[in-house]
Amino acid sequence: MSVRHGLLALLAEQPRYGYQLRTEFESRTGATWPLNVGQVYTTLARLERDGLVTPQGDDGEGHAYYAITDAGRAEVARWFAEPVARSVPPPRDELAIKLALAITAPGVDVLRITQAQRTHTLRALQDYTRLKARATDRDIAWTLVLDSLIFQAEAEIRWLDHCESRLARAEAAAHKPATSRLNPYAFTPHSRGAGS
Amino acid sequence: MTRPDAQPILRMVNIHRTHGRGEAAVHALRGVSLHVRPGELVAVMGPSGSGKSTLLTIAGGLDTATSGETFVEGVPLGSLAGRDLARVRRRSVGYVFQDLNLIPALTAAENVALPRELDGASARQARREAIDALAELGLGDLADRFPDDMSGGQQQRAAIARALIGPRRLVLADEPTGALDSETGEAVLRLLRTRCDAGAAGVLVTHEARHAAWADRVVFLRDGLIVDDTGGQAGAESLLEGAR
Amino acid sequence: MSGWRPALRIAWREARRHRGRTLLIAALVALPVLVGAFIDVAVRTSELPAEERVRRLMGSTADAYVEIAACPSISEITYLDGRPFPNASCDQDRTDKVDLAALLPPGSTWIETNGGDDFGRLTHGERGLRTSLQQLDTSSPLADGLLRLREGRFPRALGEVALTTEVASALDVVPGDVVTSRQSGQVTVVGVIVEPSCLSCESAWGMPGWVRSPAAASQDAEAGAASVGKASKEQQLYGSQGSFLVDLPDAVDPFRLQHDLLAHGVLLAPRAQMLDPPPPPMDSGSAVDPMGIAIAALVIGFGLIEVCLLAGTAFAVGARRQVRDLGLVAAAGGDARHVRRIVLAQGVVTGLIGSLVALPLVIVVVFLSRPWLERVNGSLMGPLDVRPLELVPMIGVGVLAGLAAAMVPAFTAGRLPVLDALNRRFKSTSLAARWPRIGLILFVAGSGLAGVGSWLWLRAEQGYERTVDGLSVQMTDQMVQVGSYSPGGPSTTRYVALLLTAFALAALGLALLAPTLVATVARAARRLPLSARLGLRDAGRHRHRTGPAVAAIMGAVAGSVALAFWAVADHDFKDRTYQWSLPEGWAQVQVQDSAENPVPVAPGDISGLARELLPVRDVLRASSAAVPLPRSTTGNEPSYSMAWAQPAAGGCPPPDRSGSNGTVGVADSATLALVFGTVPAAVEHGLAEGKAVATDCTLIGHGKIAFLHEGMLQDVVSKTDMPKPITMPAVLAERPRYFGIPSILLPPASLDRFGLIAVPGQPIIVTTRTPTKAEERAFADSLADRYPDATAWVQVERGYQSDDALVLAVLTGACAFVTLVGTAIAVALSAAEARSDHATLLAVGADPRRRRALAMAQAGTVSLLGVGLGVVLGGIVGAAMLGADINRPLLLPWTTLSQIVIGIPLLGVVIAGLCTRSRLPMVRRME
Repeated sequence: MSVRHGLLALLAEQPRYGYQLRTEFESRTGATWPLNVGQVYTTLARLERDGLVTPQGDDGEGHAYYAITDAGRAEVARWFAEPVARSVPPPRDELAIKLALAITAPGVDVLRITQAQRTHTLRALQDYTRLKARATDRDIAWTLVLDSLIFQAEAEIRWLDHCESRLARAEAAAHKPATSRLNPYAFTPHSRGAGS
Repeated sequence: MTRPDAQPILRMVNIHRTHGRGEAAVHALRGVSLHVRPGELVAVMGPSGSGKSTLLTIAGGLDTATSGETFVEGVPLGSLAGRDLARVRRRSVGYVFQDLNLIPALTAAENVALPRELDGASARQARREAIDALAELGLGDLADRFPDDMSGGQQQRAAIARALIGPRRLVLADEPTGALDSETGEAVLRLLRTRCDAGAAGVLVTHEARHAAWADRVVFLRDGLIVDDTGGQAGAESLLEGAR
Repeated sequence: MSGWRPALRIAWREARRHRGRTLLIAALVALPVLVGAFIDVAVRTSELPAEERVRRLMGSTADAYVEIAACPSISEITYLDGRPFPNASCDQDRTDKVDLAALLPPGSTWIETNGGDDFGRLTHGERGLRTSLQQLDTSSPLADGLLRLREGRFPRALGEVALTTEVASALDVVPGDVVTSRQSGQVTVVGVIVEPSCLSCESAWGMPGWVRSPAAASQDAEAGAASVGKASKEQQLYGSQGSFLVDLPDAVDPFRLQHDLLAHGVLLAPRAQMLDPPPPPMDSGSAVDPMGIAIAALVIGFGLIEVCLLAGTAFAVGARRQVRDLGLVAAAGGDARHVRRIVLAQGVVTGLIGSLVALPLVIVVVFLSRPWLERVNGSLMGPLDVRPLELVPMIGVGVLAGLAAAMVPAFTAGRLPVLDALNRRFKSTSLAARWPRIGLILFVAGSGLAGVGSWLWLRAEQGYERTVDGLSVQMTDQMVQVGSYSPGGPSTTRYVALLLTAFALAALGLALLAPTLVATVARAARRLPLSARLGLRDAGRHRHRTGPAVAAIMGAVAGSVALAFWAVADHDFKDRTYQWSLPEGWAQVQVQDSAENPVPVAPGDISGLARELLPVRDVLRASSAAVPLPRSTTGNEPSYSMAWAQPAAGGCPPPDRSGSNGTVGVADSATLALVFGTVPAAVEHGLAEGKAVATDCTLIGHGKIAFLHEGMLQDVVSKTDMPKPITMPAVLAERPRYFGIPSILLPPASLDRFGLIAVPGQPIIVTTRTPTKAEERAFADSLADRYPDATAWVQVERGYQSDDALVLAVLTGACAFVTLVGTAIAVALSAAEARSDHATLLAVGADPRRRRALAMAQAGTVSLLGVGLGVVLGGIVGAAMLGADINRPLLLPWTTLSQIVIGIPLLGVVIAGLCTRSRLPMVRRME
C-alpha cells in the first residue's frame, strides 16, 4: 500500500517516467526498501485503472511518462492527512508467537530465547547506529527513517526485558520450579568478532 | 576503532564482589572478566541489581573486589593504597556520573582542570589544557560559566572532557544520559564515540539499548555474571538487506 | 600545596554564594579577634604618650619639677612609672623650711602645685557640696596644661574660682555664678574644668591664698587686701612635701642643678629626664601572679573551645552539604588530603573574613566609645593608638580559630569512603562507633580523678590545719603574736593542676558522648506528639550537628553552675564567719579632720539630730583605755595608743581562728550601758571589788585577764624580750563578741596604777530597729552639714552584705547567651538541611505551624540536653572544688540551678518559635 501512495506523492510533485519514480523513491527512503521496475509499472497500471494518474505519452523508447490527476491529488492529500491505520488484526509478529508458544511449551528455556534475541537485535541496533553516525545534516529524511528502525529495535529489546521480569514475578508467585533456572550459564564467545 | 593487537587499558579478571556476610550476604559480582582496549567503547547492560555499577566502581578503584584482579594500564589496583589509587584516578581513569558531575562552585574550565591541579600542575597550565579540551568538544565559550548556568547536556559533556583530560585514556560512565532527553543524550554518546575513535577507551553503563548501540561491544550482566556479549562489529549493510 | 588552590577557590566561591551563613560563622570565629583587638586598641589608646604624661605632671612650659623631700638630703632620684622619687634614708625628718629662692638660680620663677589639702563645703543657693579646695596660680604660664578648661576661663585673681565638672553640675552653677564657703567667703565661678587624670574628682581651684582659716579670712576682709596671690616673701619658705613647677633661666644646666640640690634634700627633675626617665635600678617587677595567669589562660582557653564547638557545628553541616562535591573531587583523583583541605579551606576563609571585618570595626568602636572609656578609666585618653604590628597577628589568630573549628569536620570528611560520599550515604565508621565508649571512659575517669584529687587536697589542708593549730597553741602560750594569724595554706598548685586535668577529661568525655546521648534520647521519642517526635528524631539523625551544639551549651552551663556552687558556698562561709562590729542595726558615727584624726564628738552633740532621723533608743559611746604617747613634731600622729587584750592562759579555747583579741575599755557608766544595757549584779559587785570585767571567756583564765599596751613594747628589740602582759583579777559576764565594743572593762580607779588614761570613743547609736538605707543616708547628710569642715559619716551594721546577686545574674546571663547562640545555630542549620522534608510535609497537607513546632522541639531538645549535661558536669566540678575546701560547705545553689534548668531551655524554645517563619518558600525537591 505504501508503495502506491509513495509513487502517487512523487507524481504529485511533477510528472515522471517510471524509472525516474523508482530511483526517486529509493533515494528518498535511503534505499531501505528497494523497488524493482516491474513492481513500479504494475503499481502505475493500477493507479491508472483507478483514475488517479494518466499517461502522458512516452519518450520514444517505450518508457511511459505519467502525470497525476485531480482525483490523484485528492488521494495524496487524504493519505497525508489521515494517520496510518494500525491494521486489525496486527501483522503476525514472529517473535511474539515464538515466545507465547515457548512459555507454555515444556522443556523450553524461555530466558535463553529472550537473551539470544536481545543480543541479535542489539547487534542490528549497533549497525543502524553506525550508519547514523556517518549521516550528515542534509540527510534528515534518511536519518529519520534510520531512527525509525532504531526505535523499533529498541522497542523490541524493551519488550524482551519486560517479558523476563514478568515471567520472573509469575514464577515467584507460583512457587513452581522454574523451567529455566536463573543460574549462571557459561558465556560462550561467538565465532566472529573479537571476544573478551 | 579497536586495534586488536593493542594492550588492554582495562583488564578485569574473575572479579567477585560480596557485600555483607553469612546469610545476608549479597553477591554483586560473581566472577566477571572484562578487557577493554584503546579505541574501544564497551557498553554494559542489565537489569537493576545485576552489578553494573559495582563493576564500574571496581574498575576505577573506588571499590575493592573481594577477589580477582583489576589492572589499569597494567597496574594491579589491588596492591595500591588509598593515595595511590587516587593517583590512578588522576592520571588514568575518569568518571562520568548520571548527574551533578560538576562542582557548582567552580567554573567549567576549573572543573575540567581539577584533576590536573590535584596532580600538581600549575594553575595556568591546567587552565590551558582545560580550555583546549573544552574547545575540542565545541564547548569553548562555556569555559568560564558556572554549572548553574549550563544545560544538563553541556554539563555532561564538560564532565567527559574532565574525564579524559591530561594523560587519562579510560572513561567510566555510569548512566551518563539518564537525566537527559533523547536528543541531548545522543549528543553525549556521539561525543563518547568520537573520543574513543580518537584513541580513548570507555566503559558505559546504561539501560537504554539505543545508547548502548553506540558501543563497539555490548556486554550483558545478570545477577553478577556476564551472560552474553554482542562481540565485534558485523558489516553494516548486510542487515539492511534482511529488512526487506 | 597542590590541593590548596582548588580548595581555597571552592571555599571562597562557596562563601560568596552563602553570604549570610558565612558572615554568621565568621562573626563567631572572629570573636576572639574582636575581643583581643578591642583590648589592645583600648589599652594602647589609654596609655599616655610620654609628652602627655609629662604634661599632666608638669604642664606644657615648665623646665623642671621640684619637690622638697622629707629627708634633709637625698642620695639619688629613682623613677617609677615615670614619676621621680627621692631615694634617701634619714634618722630624722627635716624640721626646717627651705628657701627656694636661695637654692634656685636667679631669674627662676616657680609656682607651687600642691598648695594645701583643704576641704570645704561650697554652697550655691540651696545646694551644697563638700569639695577639696586647691590652690594653684593659674594665671602663670607654668600652670598651662595641668588642668583642662571646659567652659569659661581660669581664675586670674583672688575671688575667682574654677570648679570641676562634677562640682559644677552638683551645685548647678555656670561661669558667672557665685559660690560660698567658710574658708573663702563668696567667690565667683569663672570656669569649669577637669583634672585630666581624675575626671570624677570634685574640686575647686583658685589662686594661692583663697583658702584661709576663718580668722585669716576675716583679717583680710578687714584689711581690704586684693592681692593677686603671688607668693609673698614669707611664703617663699616651704616645708617638706611641697612640689613646684620651675622655669629656669636659659643658661642653666638643669642636670647640674639637679645634682647640686640633692645635698639640700630637694628633688629637681628636668623635663628631658621626665620625658625619658632612666629605668629603675632593680627590676621592681610586677609580681607575676601564677594563679592569675592560670585563671586568665583558663578563661581564654574556655572561650576558644566554645567558639570552636559552635563554629564547628556550622562547618560540620557545611561539609555534609558539600559531601557530593567532596566525592566528586575524590573521584577526580583527590585523596583524603585534598578532601580535608576543602573543608579546612572554608575554615581559613571564614576566619580571614571575620578578622578582616572585625579589625576596622574594632577601631571604629573604640573611637566612638572614647567618652565612655574615659569615664570608666577616670582619665582622659590620648589620641587613637592603632598599632598594626600588634593587630596584624590577630588576623592570624582568627585564621587559626577558623582552622581549629573546621578541623574535626575536615578529618571526618576525609575518612568518608568515596562511594558513600557520592551517594550521600553517611554510614558511621567503626571509629565513630568507638567514640562514645571512649567518651564514657574519659568521663568516668575524669570524675573519679576529680573525686580523688579533691579528697587528697582536703587531707592536705586538714594536715596543714593541724600543724597550724599546734603552732598557734605554742604562740598563745608565748603570747608573742599581736593581732590575728591567718594561715596561708599548703602548696595548692599541684592539686589545682590535678583537678583541672580531671575536669578537662570529664568535659571531653561528655562532649564525645553528646552525640550518642542525643541519639539515645531520640529513641524515646515514640511516645511524644508529632512535632516533638520529629524534632527529637531529627536531632538524633543529625548528631553531627546537634552533638557539638549540645557540647558547647554544656560547656557554658557547666562553667556557670560550678561558679554558682562556689558562690553560694562562699556566701554561706562569709556570712557565717562575718565579724560583727556592732549588734545588728546599731550605727557607728565617725568624724575625722583632714589629717584623719578623730574629732571628739559627744553623744549629746548629735543625739537630737539622730533622734529626728533614726529610730534611736540611745546614743552612747565607749571609753577605751589607752596610754598617752609623746607628741611628735609633725603633729600628724595620734597622741595615744590603745591597750588590747590577750587570750588568757586557762581561758576557753577560741571558737575559730579569727584572732582579733578585743579592745580594753573603761567601765564608766556610758561604756557599761553600751556593753550591757542593764548592768548585771555580778558585774557591779566585781567592779566594786576593784575587779575588771571580761565579756569573752577566751580572755579570762583562772579569774584573771591579761592585756598589753604599746608603751610596754617601746623597748622591745627581739622576740625574747617580749614583755609579760599586765594581769588583774576579773569577773566574767559573757556577751556576744563585737569588735567595735570593748571586751574587757577596767575599773576607772585602776587606770592610774597602769599609767593609762580613758579616751572617749566616737558615738554609737543604739537603735530600736535597723534603719532603712534612706534614713541612713539622710542622717549622714545632716551629719556632714553639722561638721562641714570635717569628714563625717555613719555606718549602720547590717551584717554580711554581698553583691552575689549581681554576680550570679551576670553568670546566668552569660550562659543563657551561649546557650541561645548554640541552639540558634543548631536549629537554623537543621532548618536549612531539612528543606526538602519540609516541602514534603507541606505537600502532604501538614499545618504550616508544624514547622514552627518542629523548630521549637529541636530547640528544646538541644538546649535541654546541653543544660542537663552542663548541670551534671558543673555539679561535679563544684563538688570537687568545695569538697577540698574545709571552710566552705557543699550547698546546692537552688535558685541559679532552677533558673538555668528551666529558664534557659524555655527561653530557647520561645525564641525559636518566634523566629521561625511558618510559611515555607517553595523549594526544589531535588537539591
